[in-house]
Amino acid sequence: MSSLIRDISASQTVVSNDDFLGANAVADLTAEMNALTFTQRQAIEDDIHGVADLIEETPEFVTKKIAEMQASLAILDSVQRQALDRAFFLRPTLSEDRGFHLMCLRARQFRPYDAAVLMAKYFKAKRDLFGDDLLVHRITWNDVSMPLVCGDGEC
Amino acid sequence: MVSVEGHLTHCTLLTFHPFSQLTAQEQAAYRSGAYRLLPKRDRKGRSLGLIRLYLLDVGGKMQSFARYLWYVRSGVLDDPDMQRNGVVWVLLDGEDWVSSAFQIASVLKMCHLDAMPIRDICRHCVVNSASKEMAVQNIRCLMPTKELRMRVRTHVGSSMEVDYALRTFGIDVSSILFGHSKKPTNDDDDDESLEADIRERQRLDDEWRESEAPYPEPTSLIALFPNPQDIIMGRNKVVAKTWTGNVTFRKLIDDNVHRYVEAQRTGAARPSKTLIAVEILYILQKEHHARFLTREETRWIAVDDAEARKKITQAMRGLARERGTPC
Repeated sequence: MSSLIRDISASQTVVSNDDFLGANAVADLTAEMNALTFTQRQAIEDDIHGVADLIEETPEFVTKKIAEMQASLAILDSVQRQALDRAFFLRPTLSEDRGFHLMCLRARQFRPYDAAVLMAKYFKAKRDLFGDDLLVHRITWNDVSMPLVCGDGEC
Repeated sequence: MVSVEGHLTHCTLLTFHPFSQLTAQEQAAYRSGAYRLLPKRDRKGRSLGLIRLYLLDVGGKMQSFARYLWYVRSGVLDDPDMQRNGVVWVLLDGEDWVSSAFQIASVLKMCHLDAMPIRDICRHCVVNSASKEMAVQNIRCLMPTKELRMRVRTHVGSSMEVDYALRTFGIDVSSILFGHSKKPTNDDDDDESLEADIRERQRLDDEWRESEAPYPEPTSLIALFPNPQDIIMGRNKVVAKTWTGNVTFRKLIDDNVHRYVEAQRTGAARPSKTLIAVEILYILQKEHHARFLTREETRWIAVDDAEARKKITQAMRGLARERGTPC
């Protein structure tokens, strides 16, 4: 499925909605759904319908998950960590920021490795969109229409 | 239809101007509320976000549009309750939505949907004709992760039908649904919630600025993080190479190195070379509001003028040597 995204985005020709969604895409989507176990599917449905239980965030549980997440951050490869390392260098308190770690953990339902990947992706995306100067800043209205500054000339 | 450009242009104005001072066109663009977090919650108490699908027609403004989306989505990050419960997005059909699959793919890719620490519960796509279902299916297929693809629901039909369907999910957006097909106008003053949302975002922006205000001041000797115009000292050359302040610094050195070499060649006394360094330091401090920062554990410390001058002199010597005119 992800290859489809790459192909269509890289393509210079405009693809219409009718032309894009071929039999393969539908089949891929169906296969993905079928690959889920009953429990997984039920969990997603419960979540969507608002009947799933929230994860209880006891202080011990949170501390343990943050520690696991930090361990996961350490094993990410250097390419994944590039923007993350830059952010930690520029704003050293970030690497110990409990609130920020917790935010990523909550977004990935306390799966430490996924949360670590998300944190790395977050800084990469922020760097792509706003450049190095705003990497560790809060994005405000003013920044939305600022000209993009990117030192390495990739932007 | 309000153009995306309209939305983006006045984004810059909002922080410093009251809403009433915006032009009629800017107010109309805002009042359309094309992408925002609603003050309402679903039955589980989860936040509701609204996206109007016509915004996918962004043409060449894709990067600006992606930044706009990033800003709106980042509103979730301020609220621990939203972080915990997640956000339910409602994607509403516009009047003349014509995005091709190509545009949808490009927008979704650019928006980094899977990179924001937000728990996206579900995207409810509401369209008023079966012919647009294909485009919604494309949106689903083009979502960047399996998790996001699994969490898309489509509702086709009249406003009443989709309102009923959404209510089965505990979502009540009837006030928006029954008005969603009308064009935003200047007389549209019924959307109090949008202005409340704007005010809240401005308040949070201001709060953030105030909380960090003592640190970015050019006169402050301690910083949590460098300002773009600051000069980063130390051994992390990867960051220093592209940092705006360091780029400015190198340019100034480049512009003045010939004077330094000349002073050396003519056998000028040390004070004359020091004067060049002092002059550069003055320009950096007064015109660029730059500090020379060095990292100490969890914070940045501004070095004194003598240390800064030393750094300037070193840089000029290094550049002169590179050019084969050692000092």
